[in-house]
Amino acid sequence: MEQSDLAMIADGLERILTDAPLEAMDHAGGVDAHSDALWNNLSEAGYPKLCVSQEHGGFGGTFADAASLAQIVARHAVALPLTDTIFASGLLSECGVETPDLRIAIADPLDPSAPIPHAAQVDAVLRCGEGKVTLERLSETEIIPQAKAEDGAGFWSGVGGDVIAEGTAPGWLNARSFQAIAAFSRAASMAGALEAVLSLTLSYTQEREQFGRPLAKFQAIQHHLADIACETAASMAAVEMASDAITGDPLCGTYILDEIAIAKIRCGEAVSRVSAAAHQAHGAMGFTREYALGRYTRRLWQWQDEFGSEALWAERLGSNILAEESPVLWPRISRPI
Amino acid sequence: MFNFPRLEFDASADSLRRDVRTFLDAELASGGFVPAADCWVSAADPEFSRKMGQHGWLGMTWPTQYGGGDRPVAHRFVVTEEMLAAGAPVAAHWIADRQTGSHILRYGTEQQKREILPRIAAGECFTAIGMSEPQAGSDLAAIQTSAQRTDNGWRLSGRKIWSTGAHYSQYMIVLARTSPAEGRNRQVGLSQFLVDLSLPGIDISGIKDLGGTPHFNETLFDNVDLPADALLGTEGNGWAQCMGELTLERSGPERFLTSLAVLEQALPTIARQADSRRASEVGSILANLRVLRRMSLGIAQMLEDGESPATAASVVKEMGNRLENDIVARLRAMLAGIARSDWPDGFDTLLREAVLHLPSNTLRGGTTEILRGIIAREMGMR
Repeated sequence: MEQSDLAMIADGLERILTDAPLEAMDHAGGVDAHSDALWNNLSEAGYPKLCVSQEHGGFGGTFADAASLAQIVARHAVALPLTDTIFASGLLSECGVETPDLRIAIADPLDPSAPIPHAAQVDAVLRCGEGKVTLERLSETEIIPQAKAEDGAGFWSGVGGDVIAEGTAPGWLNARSFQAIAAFSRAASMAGALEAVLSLTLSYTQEREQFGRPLAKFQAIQHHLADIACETAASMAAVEMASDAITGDPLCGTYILDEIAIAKIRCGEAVSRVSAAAHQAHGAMGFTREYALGRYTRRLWQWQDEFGSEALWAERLGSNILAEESPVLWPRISRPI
Repeated sequence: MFNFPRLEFDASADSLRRDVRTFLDAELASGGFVPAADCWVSAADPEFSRKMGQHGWLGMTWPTQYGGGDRPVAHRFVVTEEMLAAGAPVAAHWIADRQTGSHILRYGTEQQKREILPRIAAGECFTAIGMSEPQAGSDLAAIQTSAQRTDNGWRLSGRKIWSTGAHYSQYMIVLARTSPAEGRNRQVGLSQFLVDLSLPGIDISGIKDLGGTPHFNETLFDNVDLPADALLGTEGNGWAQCMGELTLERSGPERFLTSLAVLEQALPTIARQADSRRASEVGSILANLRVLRRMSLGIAQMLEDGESPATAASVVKEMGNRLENDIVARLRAMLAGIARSDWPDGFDTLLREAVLHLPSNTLRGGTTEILRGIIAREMGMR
């Protein structure tokens, strides 16, 4: 996809989400009238099919293009499975399956006991098996809601699961790369939400006064904000780097898996630091259910763990290096981007 | 402030990288150097600098008429990062190549450019930074060093401190007050001077750092007569020029690759005792280093495009410094439980050096506190 086309699509999404009612953004899970209306709006505009091939009626975008939209979705704290549906539809399309108009979740193939993100908000779940992917129906009765989860995450009860569609996985797609693509969507989401946390914390500390002056004038608070800015910048750079790798090699080689690992690690680490600093700067207000900060940090903490936490990816990446005959970091650090 | 453009390496950069690695391997094999921690500050070897000059690896981006290589910024990045990763003795020329040369190119007279730049590019002329003073550290605008106009030029008086390598340098760029502050605005009335350190009235005395290495200095300027053309750039524009210099100083790979040479030496030892704890540390360090490098490359690209990304440079230095210290702490954690008899030869010394250099990472070139202040100001908080 041309960058100018992507920019146009991104602008359109930005506009729709800016105009959407808050009710469609801020609810813990499930589906309601507000989110239904917003979904229909997005669906009619074709957003869920960003990565679906043109012959299947999509835009033919890459997963790097999907990451751009994922950041926007996260920045608006949208309580809809749009990011997952975009990535899942793209994966289905890669497997030659024409995606039906459904809301789709993605199950982690390497951690079958993990909760399925968005489970209560979707019609179906995409799973990766040996040499194939399957799209299975997921109805509310088959879900055990995860306690205190955002966006309807839940555990699969193990019943039901009628197959809606099945596709043969291309050579590059296996459980490992499938999980990596999903992890990449979370890295992008984290980067987007971190941006929102930065601007929210900035405006709060500039408005809120204590000791007769805005919090932003206190050096200790400025340092929290500088920290948030640095970590956000690093997260965005990490996602960009992985995006460049994906754009350069759509066949998802080892190199891409490494770059995705780096993005998931770096964004995950940033979330811990940023959420601590942002909540500290917000005081008790940020610890309330109503205030907007939690809309982001609750999701960020969830995304940290989905499709492999930063600890898991770091261990995997580090193990590969330490298993080499002459372990050395520099060739990996200095690899051309 | 979050837009770090992508800097691309083409085939010529890749072939340059191979040449540099071949050179470094040969130097290492022949005992030309022993890898050092913090090599760009503590490991000065004029002979090594001259060799780099002969290869055309200094002043790489400057015009050929001044001894430069007229090469893209990506090429200079390749050479500097390879040197740092190897822990090569690059301290002698580091400041001249990184910032003084570019500064002379931008603000110097034609004669200065013709006389000094080719010598820097040959690895035969080294320079020092004259910003801090005994009473003016983070509060740089509080400097007391002054320059008064004379019939033939300027007379410089004052003291500069923490100047790395002044004892082997031929020149120092000195920030001095040339007219009084305007009320509370102390950033006006400052000017930069390109000072020949062989002039009478200059006394340089070494200061040992925490680990005992005499790498930095205090320099006394006792009524030093400077020629008129020693004024670098515009009179009264010293503050802005200084900030431009600091952008060059803050964003390079030396802000996050200082401890890597130490870690690399220990990696085979660590690998023999590989477990999930050690693997996690290695994976996280790789992720952090690679992302910072991406950001640093982006700044190099912005500088080449003629921008002055001061805030982005502060972001890279702040995170890089934090990471440097983190790497040494994590390295110690990974070594815990591995008998010293299994460590590589000389590694204990290298690690001691790295530990003793830790405090300087978050101080030199702008403290963490100053950098965070710059970032906060960019966001409109100050």
